[in-house]
Amino acid sequence: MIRTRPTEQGVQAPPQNLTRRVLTSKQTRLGLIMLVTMILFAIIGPFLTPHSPTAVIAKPYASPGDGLLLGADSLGRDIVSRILSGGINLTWMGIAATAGGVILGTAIGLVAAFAGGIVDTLLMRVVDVLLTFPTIIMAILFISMVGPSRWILVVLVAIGLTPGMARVMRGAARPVMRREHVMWARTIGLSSRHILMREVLPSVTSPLMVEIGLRLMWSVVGLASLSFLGFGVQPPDADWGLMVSENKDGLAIQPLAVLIPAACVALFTIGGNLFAEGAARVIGRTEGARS
Amino acid sequence: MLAPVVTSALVISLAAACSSGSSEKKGASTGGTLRVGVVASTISTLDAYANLRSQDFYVRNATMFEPLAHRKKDGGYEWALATGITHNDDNTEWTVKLRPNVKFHDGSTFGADDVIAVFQRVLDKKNALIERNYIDFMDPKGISKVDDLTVKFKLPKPYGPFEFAVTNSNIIFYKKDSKPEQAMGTGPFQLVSFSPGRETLVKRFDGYWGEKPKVDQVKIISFKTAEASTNALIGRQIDASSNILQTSLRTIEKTPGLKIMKSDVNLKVSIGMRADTEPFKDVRVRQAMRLIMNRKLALSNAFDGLGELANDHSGFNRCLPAVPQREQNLEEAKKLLADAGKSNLSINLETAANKPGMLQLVQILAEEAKKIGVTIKVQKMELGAYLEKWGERVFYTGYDTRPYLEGVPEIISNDAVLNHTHWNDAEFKSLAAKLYATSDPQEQCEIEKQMKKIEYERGASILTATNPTVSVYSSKVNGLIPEFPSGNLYDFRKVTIDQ
Repeated sequence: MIRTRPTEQGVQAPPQNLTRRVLTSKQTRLGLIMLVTMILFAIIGPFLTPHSPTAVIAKPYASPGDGLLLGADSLGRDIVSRILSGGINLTWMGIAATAGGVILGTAIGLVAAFAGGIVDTLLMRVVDVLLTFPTIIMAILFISMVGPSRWILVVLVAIGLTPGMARVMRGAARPVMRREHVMWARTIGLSSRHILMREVLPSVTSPLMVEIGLRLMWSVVGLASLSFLGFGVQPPDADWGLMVSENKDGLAIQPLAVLIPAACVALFTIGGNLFAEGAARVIGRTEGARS
Repeated sequence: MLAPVVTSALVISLAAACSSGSSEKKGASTGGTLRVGVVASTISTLDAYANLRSQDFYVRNATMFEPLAHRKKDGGYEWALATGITHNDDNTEWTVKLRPNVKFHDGSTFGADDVIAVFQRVLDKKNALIERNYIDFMDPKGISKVDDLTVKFKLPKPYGPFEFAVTNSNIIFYKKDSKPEQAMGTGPFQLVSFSPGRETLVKRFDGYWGEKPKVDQVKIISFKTAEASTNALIGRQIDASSNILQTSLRTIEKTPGLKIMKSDVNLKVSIGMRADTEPFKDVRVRQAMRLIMNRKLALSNAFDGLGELANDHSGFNRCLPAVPQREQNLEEAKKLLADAGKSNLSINLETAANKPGMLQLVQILAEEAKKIGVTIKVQKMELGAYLEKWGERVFYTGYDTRPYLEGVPEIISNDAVLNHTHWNDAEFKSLAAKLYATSDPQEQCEIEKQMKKIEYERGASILTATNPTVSVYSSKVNGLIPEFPSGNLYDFRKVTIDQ
């Protein structure tokens, strides 16, 4: 899915240039628009709710009418208000988990590539072990033991994202290690931290950008699934994943209470995926030509 | 003294009480496997007695083991392993006559030794069994064998409701010295296979003393949640279940091939408040929580209008105290909390959502509490993890299906697993002592009323509504009977399946 081609002697484009290059593709533009729209919808939504998203104001699964645009959910709450306020948790938790996973994974990947030898082997074997745990199963295990908490979820999803991230970043950073500017920095005895942050990291921005996009989508899907399974956002709070699960029994009577939240999660992730994949394609196409 | 056994009376009373009635039909074919869905945790075992139990335990036991008698709605008994119970004038010596020619699943004969062995095990404090609370008026040394079919119980002091106590449907009999995993009972079905948390398979026992079952096998399948068992029913992976999601009844009504059966009201979903720890140590906080609950809204939106309002005391529709129905009163609740210095209370409410309406009920409480600045955070947990800390939780959900005489010993117990609210009321305890000394039903009823009034005034549970058990089954299945008093589908003896 990721078609980056890091080359040995390639000179990386500055970030501004990268952004401009990425946005030339129609697919990435569409993806970006969808993604930004959904994030804005999630952030602004809670301020526009006609009712409290948790207030019980009608009969369960009441039909649209009586001031309820889409009717009521399984407990008699306004569906519109719940949809409007159901994205914010998913958004901040998704972004936080992605940030955590990307930072941790990149750090592990770069250190492994930089140190090589036994450190590299050790880190990568640990990553291999982590890769064998499916994120959702691991999250369910922990939540069952310690009880539901949003921060624990964020941490668990971040840990789930880490191994894949570490592998990709190590792969991208290894060729960079043999470049002249890195060798030079090592020879004159600059600190490892300086070399990694100033010399190596800027050279792997392209795969990093693509990975951030993809990991964000994975964490959104993961978090929504966990809420659906009852291990994520706890009732009575509104959340798209939780709404699907709460209202699925009324699918025959009140399908909108399930379909709209599901569509919201879908738009969010499809937008993100389009963007990340389009960006990967553009970078893959242009990187080689520029080197 | 006791009502004679009239099998038809059971059928008639059930048919009158259930809106859908028992689904008996004549001329149906026999054989086949009945698949029953239950919501169960993974920790249940095959032992007839265990302290951690979920639905699968009860259903499984009801197929393989039998009590001395089955209780009936009118207060009488349908004799099973016993045929009669007599007592002396001062209620200190009770004699149980056992049914002759009853065989265990391995062909050996049931007798007085097996009965004594079970009572000794239940009474042994080391085993810490829940059932001991129903019969701890007995002295283990006072139980003696008169002959193979007669057991005599010499009590240390008079005990009135003896028959009621020993006919508890959980006091069931297995073969003396048999291993738990053999599940060696006398019931209409015998064990084929068991995998914890997944399923139990039992088959018809051809040596059964009573009317033999018509189906070949019953498969009891465990589900994690009521949602899952409901979906399995709609998807026809199972034939019947008493653990269904009430919110989906409207969908089920429209689904061809499924039928709904309602029992009498017999279930109270409770919200427990641990009375020996903050913040519920203070009775004002407990009463405030009870006043926050909007009972009418809960009944209509959480329980789909099934059942009746409850009034914060246990027991069902007999011997009710003269207290008004508690209504929501947020002003009063706010004042009580302010008096207790707990105005901006914030607390977690833990639930395993293992009964219909439970998750909806706690959400309604949380929402109503918000109106007076009280924050209740709902925490939905996995059932196994939830039960592990049973007895230690501070604000939590539970449910009660027991008749009052049976529930009281747990409320006054010193064991945290039983008295999970840790409520300890001296007046209530002394009334309880009087309740069990008399065998006069009229007097018992008067004492019950006083006890329920105390629960209403200062107890430690929020009891919002009383519900019937709603079971759903495939229209191919006939002869299912809601068991009294649980209302669950435990009795499969008359079941037939249309092929």
